Amino acid sequence: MSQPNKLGLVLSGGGAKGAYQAGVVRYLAEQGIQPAAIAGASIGSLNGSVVASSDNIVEAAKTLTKVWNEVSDNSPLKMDGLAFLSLIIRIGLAGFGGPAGRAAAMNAKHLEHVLPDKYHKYIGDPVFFDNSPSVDILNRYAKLEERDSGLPFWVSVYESDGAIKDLMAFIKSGLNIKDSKSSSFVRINSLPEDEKRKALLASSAIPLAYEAQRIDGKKYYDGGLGGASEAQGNTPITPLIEHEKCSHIIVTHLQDGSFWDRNKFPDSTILEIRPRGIARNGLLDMLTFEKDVIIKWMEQGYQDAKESIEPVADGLAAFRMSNKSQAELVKTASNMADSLQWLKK
Amino acid sequence: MISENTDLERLVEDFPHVEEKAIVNFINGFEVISDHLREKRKVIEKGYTARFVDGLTGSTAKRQERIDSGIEGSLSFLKDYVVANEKRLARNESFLNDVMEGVSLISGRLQGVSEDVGEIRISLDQLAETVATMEEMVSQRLNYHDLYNSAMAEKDLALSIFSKEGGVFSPEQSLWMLLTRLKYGDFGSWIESGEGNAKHMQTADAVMKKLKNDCLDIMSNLTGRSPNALIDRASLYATLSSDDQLLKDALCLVSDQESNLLDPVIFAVNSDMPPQSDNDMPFVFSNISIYDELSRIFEVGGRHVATQ
Repeated sequence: MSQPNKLGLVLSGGGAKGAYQAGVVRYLAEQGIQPAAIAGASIGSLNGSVVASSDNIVEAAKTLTKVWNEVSDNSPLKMDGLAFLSLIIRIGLAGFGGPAGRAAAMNAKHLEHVLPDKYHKYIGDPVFFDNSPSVDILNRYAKLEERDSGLPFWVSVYESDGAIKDLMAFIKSGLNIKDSKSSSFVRINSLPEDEKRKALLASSAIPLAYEAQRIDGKKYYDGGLGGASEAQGNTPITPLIEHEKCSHIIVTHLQDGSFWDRNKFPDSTILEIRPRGIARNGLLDMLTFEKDVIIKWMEQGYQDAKESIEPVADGLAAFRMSNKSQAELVKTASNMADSLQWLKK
Repeated sequence: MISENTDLERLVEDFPHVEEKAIVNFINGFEVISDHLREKRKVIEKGYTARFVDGLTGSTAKRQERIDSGIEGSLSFLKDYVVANEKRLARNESFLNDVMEGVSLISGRLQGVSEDVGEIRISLDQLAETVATMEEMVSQRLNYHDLYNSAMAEKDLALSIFSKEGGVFSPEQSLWMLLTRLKYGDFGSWIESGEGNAKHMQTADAVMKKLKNDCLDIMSNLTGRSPNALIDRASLYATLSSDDQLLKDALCLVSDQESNLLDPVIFAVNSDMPPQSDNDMPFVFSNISIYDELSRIFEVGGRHVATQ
């Protein structure tokens, strides 16, 4: 049974398009719409960490705008040269190192058992980008050191079967051949600082682009990979309904024409903010951190939120007014009927 | 009762968010449909290959299913809304009929009330007149009682003065002054105020009788004569017309009471000239006859014996 009038906010994943959510949150702040619980996937989990740790939605909007302005000035995409070099060496060993080289390349990942975590990205699945810019943002704005504070905050993560397999499962899902397995959800608030960081980085770790995060001995990647055909992991509404008992939920999508279906959640009142055309260059949008594009997406988020929420608010106000008016009419009629009875006597 | 509690209304009452969810789904549902339509249009614009791939992967059918289910939901909402609205309109019409019936009933009642109000207004006017009359009567009564009290106080005071022995006036002079004072004071006003009123006449008669008895008693005490003992008129006049200056001043004072009838007497007393005597002089008096003669002043048109 959901709690009456408890509002949740879902922030979907979409890479650089996450700037759109800064605009959405700014509109919510302007309207004084304060969520009581947050859930995010991928870039939505990074945005969500800021919103959940802020004192209120107004502060969240200011901080998010600041973060995305910083991101637009300094792209967070930073090539990890060492990891890339390691990949090239392993390919070279496999191709030109003879049987011994091939064996070394194939078994390099067994060194994970003896090497510290921070070196795993050089011997495990290939990684192209350094996640230190994301870590830096989280350290500065997500208040990771505060435990059990802020709004209830959930992120989706995808248990890895290996980067390549995970990507293949995602592609199969997109082609409607076979849906990828479901993502799981982690409640961030109660975790220690390091585990919070890991969970948030896992939630936004696109396979091959960023390294997977190991939590409780398992590797996790971007939560947006799970249940991809209908965005189960990328639109993590489930924990807000099942665990936080939200009666009302605002869902922010970052993909045009998302197949996510609100009819699967009949017990909650759901308002979707769907971008009115956010795609520019397909999958490359996720890695486009150009300043002018970021600013446009932020502004579009604000406008789309306004155009989605205003008609619903107006409609609800009109229906409430109509119901109130009818109730008063019925009451008057009842009084009139009683008066008539009295007059007839 | 006009209110009709249907199953749907009860459901909405128990679960208010159901209605709210339906409204949000209806309005926000158009956003979702528009989003899918935009995406579909984009695929169509991309060309044959894109359409083929979308068809092959089943995305086209899936998107169309989303659009159709969205439209179905919207139409279902509209159907429910139209039906609910029609019921509401019917209820409102019934309510208006009841109102019209009530208005005509009230109109009839108001006409009756209007007539009642007219009658009440007439009654109130009559009541106001009665109250005014009663007020006047009460006022008259109060005035009469005030006058009566003053008259009695005046009488008692005059009698107490009259009864004093060793005064400068003769008893006859004192009686004459007492009666004159009473005639032209509040006592005389009180006697005349109830003219024609039987009760007043009865009271006045009793008061006058008592006054007579009191005066005769005092006279007898002062003169030492019994009420029936006789004296002649000349002796009586001599006592009346003494040279006493005080008496003269007193008579002048009495003259200021606008008593024209006394003027000749006063003139006679002041000039030491006895009034013209009738042929029947000397006339014989007693205390009773003196009182009777002097008290004729109280009769309408009555005068003192000295002025006759």
